[in-house]
Amino acid sequence: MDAESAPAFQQACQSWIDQGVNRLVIDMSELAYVSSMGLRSFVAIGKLLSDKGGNLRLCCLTGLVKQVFEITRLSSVFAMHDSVESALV
Amino acid sequence: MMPDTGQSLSLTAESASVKVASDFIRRGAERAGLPPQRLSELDLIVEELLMNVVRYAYPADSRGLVEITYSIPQACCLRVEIADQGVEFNPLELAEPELGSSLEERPVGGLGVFLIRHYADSLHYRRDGAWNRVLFSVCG
Repeated sequence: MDAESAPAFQQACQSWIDQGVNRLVIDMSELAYVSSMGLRSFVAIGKLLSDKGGNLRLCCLTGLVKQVFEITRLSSVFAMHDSVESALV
Repeated sequence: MMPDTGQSLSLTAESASVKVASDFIRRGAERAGLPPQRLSELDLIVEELLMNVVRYAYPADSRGLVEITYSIPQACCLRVEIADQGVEFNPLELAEPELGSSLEERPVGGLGVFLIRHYADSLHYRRDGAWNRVLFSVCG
């Protein structure tokens, strides 16, 4: 997720939020790359969901994406899970 | 392998140039023999530096240029310079972000330079007349 693709992700999440959803689980298993523009989107959506009494949960991070979330300590800000199933509990 | 004196590319400072710049630098990285993991990290550094130029270097109604130059000083090592003629800006002077904050306290942005610092093996800035020049290296 980079400067080019982050807006579409953010719009998709916003669409769910506009429909009243306040808890989202994002399956990151096929995300191989994230830049700071992507991180901005995760933080922005996380804040919106939190403001509505909900939360953003991320699962199945791998490789560079997992590392980026860890070094920026965003892995401590969001609920992180190893599988979609555990994130849905 | 013999050190490579370098290749240069000049692009318009716009979002569409990020992919072009990344592909250009990747060709150099592959010639240098950088391992695959470092290639993704290199992409990240390039995007962060280019997007800073795209977003902040030039006035909104102008189309400035960004020059990308790479060289291969030794095997498995790539040296890259990103240069622009925008407003004077030294990314190394930005304060470190507060990473221990809660979600509510975390700003939406501010992580780009942090990521550059983390993944680049060396990082330097200089103002050269009207030019900002950021020089970094990534080695395998």
